[in-house]
Amino acid sequence: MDVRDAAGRLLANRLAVFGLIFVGVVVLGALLAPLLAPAAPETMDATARLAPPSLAHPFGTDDFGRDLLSRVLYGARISLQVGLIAIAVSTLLGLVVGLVAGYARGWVDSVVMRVMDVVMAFPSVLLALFIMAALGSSLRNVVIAVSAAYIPFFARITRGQVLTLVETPFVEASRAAGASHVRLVVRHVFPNVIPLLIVQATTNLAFAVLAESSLSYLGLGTQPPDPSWGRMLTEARPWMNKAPWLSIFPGLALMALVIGSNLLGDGLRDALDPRLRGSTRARRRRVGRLDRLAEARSSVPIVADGGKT
Amino acid sequence: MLFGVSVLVFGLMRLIPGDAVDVMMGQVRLDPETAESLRRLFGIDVPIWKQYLTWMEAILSGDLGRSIRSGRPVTTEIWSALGPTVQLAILSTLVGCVIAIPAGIVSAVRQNSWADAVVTLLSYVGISMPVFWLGTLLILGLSVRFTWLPAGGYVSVFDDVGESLRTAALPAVTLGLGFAALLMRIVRSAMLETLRQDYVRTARAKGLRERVVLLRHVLRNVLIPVLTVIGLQFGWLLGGSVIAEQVFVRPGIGRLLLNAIFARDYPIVQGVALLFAVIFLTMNLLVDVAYSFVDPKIRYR
Repeated sequence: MDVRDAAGRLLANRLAVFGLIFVGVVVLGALLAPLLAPAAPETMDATARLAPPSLAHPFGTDDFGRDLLSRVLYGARISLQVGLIAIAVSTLLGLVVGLVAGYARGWVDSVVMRVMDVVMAFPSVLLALFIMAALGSSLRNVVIAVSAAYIPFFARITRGQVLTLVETPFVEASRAAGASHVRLVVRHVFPNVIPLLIVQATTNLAFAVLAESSLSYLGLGTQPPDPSWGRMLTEARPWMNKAPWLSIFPGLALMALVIGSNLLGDGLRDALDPRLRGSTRARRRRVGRLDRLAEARSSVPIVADGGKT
Repeated sequence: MLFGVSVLVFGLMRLIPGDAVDVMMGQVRLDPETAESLRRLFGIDVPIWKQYLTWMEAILSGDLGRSIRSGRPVTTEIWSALGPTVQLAILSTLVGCVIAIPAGIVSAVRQNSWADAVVTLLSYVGISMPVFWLGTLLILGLSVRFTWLPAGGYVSVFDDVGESLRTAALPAVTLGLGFAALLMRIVRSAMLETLRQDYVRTARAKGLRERVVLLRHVLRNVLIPVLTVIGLQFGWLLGGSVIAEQVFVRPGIGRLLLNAIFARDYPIVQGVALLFAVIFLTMNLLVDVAYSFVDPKIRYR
């Protein structure tokens, strides 16, 4: 696949460019936090408690007199950190699980995918919630919970791709030519699976970030003193009357990151999906991963067989 | 499937370092004998598979154990928290459908128009909007700034219908909007798919009015994916309701669960997890059954 081609298609997509900008701003904010922040996120200023937005404190201050802009900037670090690590872990594990299942087939495949089905039967946020309940709250456990909840998505994609690839003439040909399993996987499976995983990882980043902030909002995620957007929103609740800015800015930042990676993920899918190249179906296909979900669901054999498949 | 889920739920609760006795005793020093007899009392002195069997046996006879905190049976606790959650689920599904189905239809029929662009944009915003932030904004706008609606609480429908709907309004709109965002895209893409079918062309060719074509031929077929999503989204709705109940202080299943998690009241956590899993699996089954009613092509063997 020509990377420049794909990049060109991505940049031609207006929504995807918006996504890129949103994510870019948040990433820059996180990277440059020490330079941009007016104060350290923990610095308290007793003279400026609950100060409304002003030049000195562009986003205002919280009930301890901490500068909200600084906390939002440092919060971006936590969100991105949790999101990226969790998605990296679940992509990697999902890839391995999917490869094993798709390649081994037979009973290994059915057992592994059954387990994945069971995990998927729980909505991800709830699953992460229950895992947090069992492990206890800490930054590390949030990463574990969120990654565990998303492994099945990546495993499914990889497995599906492996199953179709194994049947294709070019893979059969290279097997007939005596290529080893490792070579088959590296040369033929990876190049076909990785674009799909990148797309899935980008959209799932949005959900991982949401999951982290939801858990933190509920008090089960990131613990003080790490500034997390979700927890900042919980802490803002008693001050809704007096200091509504506390409830607004962390949410805006969160929203920018989530909507950005959603748009970017969808844009990447359109840009990377070779099936769409120059086809008139591109427009129709640009309806989002949710429709894929529905498609996947409706492509499941409808005939009831008592769950024995 | 149900077996797998029950193992998952059971296993998850056994991931906790230390057992219930350790948790209960906390700092209190216990001599090993007392601890041992307590373990025997709770039935956690036997191998894990035996515990699982005992647990399953109890569940199948409808006994989910007792709450450690209140001492009341888990089933009673869940039963009394069910009302607010069920009301919220029903209302937010309604809100979602009322918004999403017309919006999805319009954006598909007028594809690439400004209306389509607005719907698409709104659905992106809705999907990316965290439930707790949307809820916060609604509270800020509608109950802090203008004191039109209560910011939270719960009144049963059976006590006072008006007040009950007023307290449910904000949480239902919060969850409903998120749900609508998901549903809109499904309705739109299903409509577009169906509009291209031969039978739609035939219906138009034989001179039916557009309204009849849409209502009789298109909508009926669009219902299938829409039903699927409504069924599947029930899981999302449950997750969302845990958060929404926290935002709007509704004494439902979600709050029961969270309080139980904080109090380390594991029988309750386990019971709620199982309840969620059963609801979710049942919804999947119902979706499959509903298919056969909507689409006569699908029949069960």
